[in-house]
Amino acid sequence: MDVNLVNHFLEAVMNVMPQLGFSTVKKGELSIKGSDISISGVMAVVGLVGDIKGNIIYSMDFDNAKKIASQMMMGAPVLEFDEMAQSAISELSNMLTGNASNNLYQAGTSVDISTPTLIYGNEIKIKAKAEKVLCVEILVDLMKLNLNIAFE
Amino acid sequence: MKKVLIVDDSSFSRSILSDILSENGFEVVGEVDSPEDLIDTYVKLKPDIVTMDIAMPQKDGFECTEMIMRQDPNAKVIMVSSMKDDEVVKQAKRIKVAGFVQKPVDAEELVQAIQLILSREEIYTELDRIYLECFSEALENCIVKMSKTSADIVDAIFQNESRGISVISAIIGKHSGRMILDMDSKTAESLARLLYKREIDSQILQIVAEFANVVCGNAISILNRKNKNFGLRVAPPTIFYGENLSISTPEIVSKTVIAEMSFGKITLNVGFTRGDEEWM
Repeated sequence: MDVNLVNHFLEAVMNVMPQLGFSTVKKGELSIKGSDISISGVMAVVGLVGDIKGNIIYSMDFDNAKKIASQMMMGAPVLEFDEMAQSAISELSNMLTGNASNNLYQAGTSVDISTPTLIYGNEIKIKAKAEKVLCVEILVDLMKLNLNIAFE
Repeated sequence: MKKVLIVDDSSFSRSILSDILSENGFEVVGEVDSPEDLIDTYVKLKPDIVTMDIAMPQKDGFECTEMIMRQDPNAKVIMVSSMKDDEVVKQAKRIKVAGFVQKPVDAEELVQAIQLILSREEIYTELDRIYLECFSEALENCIVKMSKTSADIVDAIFQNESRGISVISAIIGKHSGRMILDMDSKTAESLARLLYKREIDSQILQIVAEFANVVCGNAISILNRKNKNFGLRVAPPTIFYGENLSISTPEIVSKTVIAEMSFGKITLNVGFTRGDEEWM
């Protein structure tokens, strides 16, 4: 897996978040994990197939998921991670991945993306089909959004 | 003949569009020049396509489109406007308009935009009709051939709470979607032992993921053979597991079956988006 792949996804976050009304986007830690990861909160998985094949899993804790959903819904209060909030996070992952696939295309790599699937819960373990998963932490208005990039 | 409703405040524009549409085999069932009668007219006439001008005095084309979408989320609206800059296009995409044609309208461009929408709708309708039986067939065949045990496939309602292990296979294609296989850990272990005659050790999840991959691959092959316009392909599987796992797919209609074997149950949930992402 090409580590440069990360940049296309980072660019997507930089492009899309301001459009949704978030003011600051900062890249945090980058780490490489084995194919096993454990997360509590919300995960959105989107598949990519084309010149490269794999999945991206966006993850965030419940509080941040609610805050992000609220911001996307023009500040409407989000008290529970209900269907509206789930829909917002699903749409976010769709927008980010769509933008990333455009960036990839500009760079000569063509991929199609799938619809997102949303998973949530406590202490969920993930086994991706990839030797290594690239994890990038991004701070969006001080909220942690993680990108877990699993490509063959 | 497919039915079109024209929405534009200019009688000149309406007559140009009406001429283009009638000359190209579409039936213009109505013309609307203001938001007042819009919804009643839409409901009464049930058009296949709505052409929508943007710049109108009382409510603009975006507001009118949103009104229609609230009434009918599957409405197919083509924006017809003299403005087609980035901002306008972005806004159109946000409200999930089905197409966008710039004025002065080129007849061929409008007709192609409409045909693209209609053929997409036909493809979706066929996919929707047959996908569950193809996935059920693939699931049953794989269980029987790979584990040498029998399985009963029954219709079911999807439970958002996982039994413990969920494998997500993301699907791309003309209409994208995903397949989810869900089972408890006992079933996963039994399945793995039957699939992989050797020592399974800590490989249960890998074996289950590979099983899901084969099921999904088989199912989409069956579908692609039935209609090459589906263009389906699958991404590598991702497994989620834990005691407290929930799955949600707010933007998608999905169908579910359960495979019942002597050693446990596997839930298969699959769905595809209707979405119109391709027009730009």
